[in-house]
Amino acid sequence: MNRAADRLFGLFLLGLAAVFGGAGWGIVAPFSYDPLGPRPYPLLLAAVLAVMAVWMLFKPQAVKLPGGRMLAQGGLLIATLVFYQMTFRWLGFILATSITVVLVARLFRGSWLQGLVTGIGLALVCYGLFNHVLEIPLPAGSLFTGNGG
Amino acid sequence: MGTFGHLMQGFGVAFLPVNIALALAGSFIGTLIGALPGLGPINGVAILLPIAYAAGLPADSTLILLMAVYMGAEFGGRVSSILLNVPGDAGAVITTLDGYPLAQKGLAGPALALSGISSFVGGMLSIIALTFFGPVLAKLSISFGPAEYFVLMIFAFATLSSMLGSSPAKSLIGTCLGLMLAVVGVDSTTGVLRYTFGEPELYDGVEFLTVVVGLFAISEILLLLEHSHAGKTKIASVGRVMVSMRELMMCKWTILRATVIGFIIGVLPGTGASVASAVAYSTEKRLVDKEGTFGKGDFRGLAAPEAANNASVGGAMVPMLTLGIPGSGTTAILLGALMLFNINPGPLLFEQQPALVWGVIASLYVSCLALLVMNLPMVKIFTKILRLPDWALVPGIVVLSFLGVFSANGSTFSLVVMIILGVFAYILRKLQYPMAPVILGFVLGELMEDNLRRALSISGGEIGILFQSPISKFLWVLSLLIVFAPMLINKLVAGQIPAPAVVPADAAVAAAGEEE
Repeated sequence: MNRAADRLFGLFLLGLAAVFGGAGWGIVAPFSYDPLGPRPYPLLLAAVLAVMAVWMLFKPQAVKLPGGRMLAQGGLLIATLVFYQMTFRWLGFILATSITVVLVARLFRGSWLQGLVTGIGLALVCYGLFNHVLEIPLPAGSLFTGNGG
Repeated sequence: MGTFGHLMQGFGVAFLPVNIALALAGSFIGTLIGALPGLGPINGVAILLPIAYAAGLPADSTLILLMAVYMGAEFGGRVSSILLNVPGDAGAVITTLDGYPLAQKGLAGPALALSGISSFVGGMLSIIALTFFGPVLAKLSISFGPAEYFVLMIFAFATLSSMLGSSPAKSLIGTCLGLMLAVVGVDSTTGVLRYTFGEPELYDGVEFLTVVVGLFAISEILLLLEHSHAGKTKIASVGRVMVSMRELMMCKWTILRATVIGFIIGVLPGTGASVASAVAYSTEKRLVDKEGTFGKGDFRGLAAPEAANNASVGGAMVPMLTLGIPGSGTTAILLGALMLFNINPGPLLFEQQPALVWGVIASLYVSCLALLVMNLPMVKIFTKILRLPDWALVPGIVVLSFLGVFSANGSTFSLVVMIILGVFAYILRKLQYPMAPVILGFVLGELMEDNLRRALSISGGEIGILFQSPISKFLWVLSLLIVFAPMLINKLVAGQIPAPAVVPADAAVAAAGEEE
């Protein structure tokens, strides 16, 4: 249990409110069609957020934080998702999906074989379903086809 | 045409073969998703909406599918609550209190049967109530102008922050974050770009589907990582799924009371199944628990939350269809789905889209009946799903999320946004910020600003218009009451009467407020 984390996040929210308010200050409409215009509403939101963020600084709650091992695994999982995003067009749907599924399955305590079977199965079924039944073309892989995917 | 005529017209839509098939498929998938520990209606709807959209289903069919998933998940949530002591979703947290002790006594079969029947009665009665109250409320709400509409949203956020989660401040922050996210993009009145940071893909704002999948699928995957299991869970043998007439009769008043509570709480903006089941349980505990058997495997303690969480579904549809204000986190997504089809939710929905509204209501009857069949004789199929290991389930969620978001707009940029929002939502959820306010804020944000600016245009910038009409005044007073009444009551009551024995429910609300 930890109050510091909640307080730290309050600080982050305060920063966010400042950035949002700062960027909102620069919104200028060449012509205004309504008395309010596009600027006051986001500034109002930033103000409310700032007030609440300060509240959290003074009244943080005790929250349970994940342990170090969980953080490491969570980091790996996020990295895997980013990998999937980056290879989605480049390696094509089938290959990118198969590799990603193996990695995710490993993080969730599956064996290499279980991951591989799930991965190839999922990739082929989804590819077939989308390309042939729903007629939504999925990327074949710019690495192999040479065009933009 | 009266309500009955409209309903018959609705059945004409609901009985189209494709819509029947979707209602059945949705009920099945919904029960499945509900039964899986960790996944609830909001995750199910979030994952399926982009796929349905990409598949080119029309608006009514998409809504019929997603409503069936919503209701099915509320039915299915009890399965793992009873058998594993792990709530299948937030609305089924309370179900574990008496459901699991019953299973330990060897009464898993009767417990599943009774909770199935309670779910059905709660669900069915709430759909009937929706059928009759919906049109009445819709008539009332036509007199709403921009000012009233703006105040109505304030009221929605006020209810939200006083009912949900461990801290009203956190609900309000969540609402703010959702509203801020909705500001991104071209301002529809003046054409000015706001918060797009020169990124053309953000000109239309942050894509709704991207937000939904990020908030409710990606963050869920990260949460699942913490309590992942390898599929070796031991499940109590179920036996015959039957309950005796005597036990059912013992619960009949509990079921009816819980249905009324569930429906009313469902109607309140933003509060859905988890709050409904908690309030129903604590009410019943106070009323009928004379021998102190609640929590030790009392059938009434099982019937109450199950009737209530299913009744909240019909309730949540009332403000969504009549006012355009979602009654729960899941209906906020459904509301956003309507907007994807360029259908303006709001007071005129009943008048402008009678075929859609009544078709969807009629299909709820179909789904509810189908769910009774799936959840009584066929419930054993869903107990098998509890053995599905995470290494097979989670990759499936990952692939469906990516596919849904990618195919909805053909861009890998939105995948980046989805991942960022997912990680951010995970942090929020770990810090006990409820998620329903975020999605409600995001869905209602543009409408809220539009109505504020339109109201001020009408009055020529005079802010008094927001407090002028009787409806606005009433809503302002109600909003203030709902925020400050709980604090005042606590102050007054403190020290005079010993605290009522609501304890487990309160704790569960805090735990469950995070999603539904």
